[in-house]
Amino acid sequence: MEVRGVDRYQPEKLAVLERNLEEQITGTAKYSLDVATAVFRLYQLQPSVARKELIARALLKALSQMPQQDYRILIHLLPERLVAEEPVSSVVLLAQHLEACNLQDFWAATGSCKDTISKVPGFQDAIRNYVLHSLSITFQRVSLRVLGDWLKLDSSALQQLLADKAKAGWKVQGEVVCLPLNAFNTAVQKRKADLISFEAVAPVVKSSVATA
Amino acid sequence: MAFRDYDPYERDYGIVPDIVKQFVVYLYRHIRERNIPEIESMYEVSFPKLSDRYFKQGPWPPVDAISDLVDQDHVFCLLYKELYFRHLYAKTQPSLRARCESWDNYCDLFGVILHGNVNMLLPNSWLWAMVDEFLYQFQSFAQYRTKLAGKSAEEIELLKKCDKVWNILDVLNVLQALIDKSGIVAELSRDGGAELAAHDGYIPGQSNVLRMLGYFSLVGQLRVHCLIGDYSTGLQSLFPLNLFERGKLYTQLLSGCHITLFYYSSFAYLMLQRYTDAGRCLNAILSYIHRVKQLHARNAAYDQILKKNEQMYALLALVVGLCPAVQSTLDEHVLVALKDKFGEKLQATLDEHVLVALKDKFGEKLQRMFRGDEGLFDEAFMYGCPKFITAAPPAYDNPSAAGPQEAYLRQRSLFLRQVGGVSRLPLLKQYLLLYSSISLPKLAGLLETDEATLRTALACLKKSNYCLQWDGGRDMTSGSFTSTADIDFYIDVDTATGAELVMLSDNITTRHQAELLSRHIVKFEAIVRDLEAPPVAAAAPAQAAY
Repeated sequence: MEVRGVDRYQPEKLAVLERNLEEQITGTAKYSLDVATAVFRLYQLQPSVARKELIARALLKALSQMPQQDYRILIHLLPERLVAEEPVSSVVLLAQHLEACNLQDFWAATGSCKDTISKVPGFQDAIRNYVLHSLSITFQRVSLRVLGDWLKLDSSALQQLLADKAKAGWKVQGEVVCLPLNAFNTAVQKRKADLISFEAVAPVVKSSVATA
Repeated sequence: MAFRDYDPYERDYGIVPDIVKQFVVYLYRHIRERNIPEIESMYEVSFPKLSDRYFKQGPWPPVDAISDLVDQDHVFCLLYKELYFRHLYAKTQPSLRARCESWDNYCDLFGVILHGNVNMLLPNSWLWAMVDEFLYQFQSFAQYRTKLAGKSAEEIELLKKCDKVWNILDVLNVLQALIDKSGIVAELSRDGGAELAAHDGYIPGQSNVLRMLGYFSLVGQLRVHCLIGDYSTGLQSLFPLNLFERGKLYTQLLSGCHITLFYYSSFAYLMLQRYTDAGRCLNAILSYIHRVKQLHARNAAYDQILKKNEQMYALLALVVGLCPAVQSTLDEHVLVALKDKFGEKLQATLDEHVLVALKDKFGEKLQRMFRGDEGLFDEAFMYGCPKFITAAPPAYDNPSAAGPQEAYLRQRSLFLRQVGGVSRLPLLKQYLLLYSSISLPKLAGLLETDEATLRTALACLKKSNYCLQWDGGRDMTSGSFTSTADIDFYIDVDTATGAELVMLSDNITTRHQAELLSRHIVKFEAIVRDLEAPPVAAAAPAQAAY
């Protein structure tokens, strides 16, 4: 659902937007950041009608879009009084751990908002995908133990996940997992040579022709 | 709409000076005759001069004192009142009643323009000033509203009744209506603004009022969204203006508009952690100001331009502090000015080509920012950020609940958290610079942490350099991920020993010297030419004498 132009500023549409947002969270409607932004904006205007548990769920959904900045975009819209209480505050804490790559604390903190997480299907898988992504920009090879810690999976589930990812280039060699190579985790001797444009050199050419 | 029926006789105005009456009559005549150069000269020169001479402390005559001179023309009276209130806001602290009256006036004026068929021509600078002042008064009212502490009980009662005045939804709806009715989006999408720029904004045969108001409202929407913390919608609402392909951008001709556009966009990019985009915008606008500063030296707007200039250098310092790689994309004079204000010597790898003359007044500050000193980020943010507002009306019954600073404090705390997340990383970076490869346990020992924390920190460092950058999509919020790292590394496991190693790559950047060198070569050749010329000129008169 697109929210463009004058639709952004109609408080009467709040109920429609909220309903669409709920559908996005459960997966029945296509994900669209605009709707969440519109809802949060209207909440900022009238904090009394804000539904905190919907905010919490929408934030979790946005968080699962990492590395896109959706969560960051939404959190700036919420005034202090809407994020200070449960269930939103524990989601905010969760997001802080994730942004700092503190995965031990992150998985520990998921315990405290189990309810909200259970209402956002696919959250944990999306987070695991994000962790794999951020690993693949930092590591070329990583030990299985570390991988298991970061993903909070026991060894059999881990083997299963890696088997699924084998097509994408993830290979297991003994205790070590090889990650697919990409532009970010290879040491390329980058020679950043800027191309010299003709305009930069033209004055010199002109003057040397004149004096020649 | 409140306070429409104010009592004009309450203000016993006295005699209106003759020269002011003349000004009004001529302005009315020129507007009727669509004589743009005359209107412009009256608006930009005569109006400020008269204000300075006769109305330095107080307001201009109320509209009823002069309406007879202009045959009670409704539209002219609205325009006159717009100037009247603008002057009032600039010189005095407006009362609640004045604020409400001004709001009513803007509603009437925009109503006439939207629904009536306006055929007049007005200078584009006036139209931009209309939008700018409209939003400034909106901001001012939002802040006035939240300062409940100093107000008496009856003032608060009156304020409660004025909840329809300067309502953010109405403001946004007005801007949106101007954009929709003027059809500016379709027009700009069609040709990228070429026709507009070619005719200087005044397309012959048509009234420019609605079209240009639509154009300026695009920038206005960006501003309002940034003030409530809605950065991505602000950038989206700029469509189809393009910040990075500025060839056909009309706003370059109106410095106030251009500066506002880039200030708010670069702030939005900064808060969205898109540092390279913010750096590009700031670089463009600071170079622009550097070029056009002298033209405005005697203009009333000069002070504002300078203030914005300083604010944007503060923002640039924040961007560079959070993403040092941005420095290599800045123009030379921008980098020099940044260092004059904030920095002395930066890390050695980054500043070979900077000029030697550096003042060390703020010398230390940038270096301390590189070391993650949060207090400095706070200071720069406080100076550079716009004046945020809370969209919702305050809780009148509970004056101490949330003060006027609420919105600012919220954005500031989010920003500082962003900074705090990367504050320990500069130390890590300094160690990494010393090695081409180092084992994880050894690095952990050097930093006095354990391996798990170190692994987290390294992943965090990599993540902080992984930014969204605009790469040609139609929307200002689109982009793809690139690495903006000044040092590059990855972590590998040595298959033989099972030890983890951090491998760093060398970044060899060949500096972009061509422009600098060619400029100096041409200058040098000119000097040599001058040195060689006189003997020829002296020889000719010498010959003539004989």
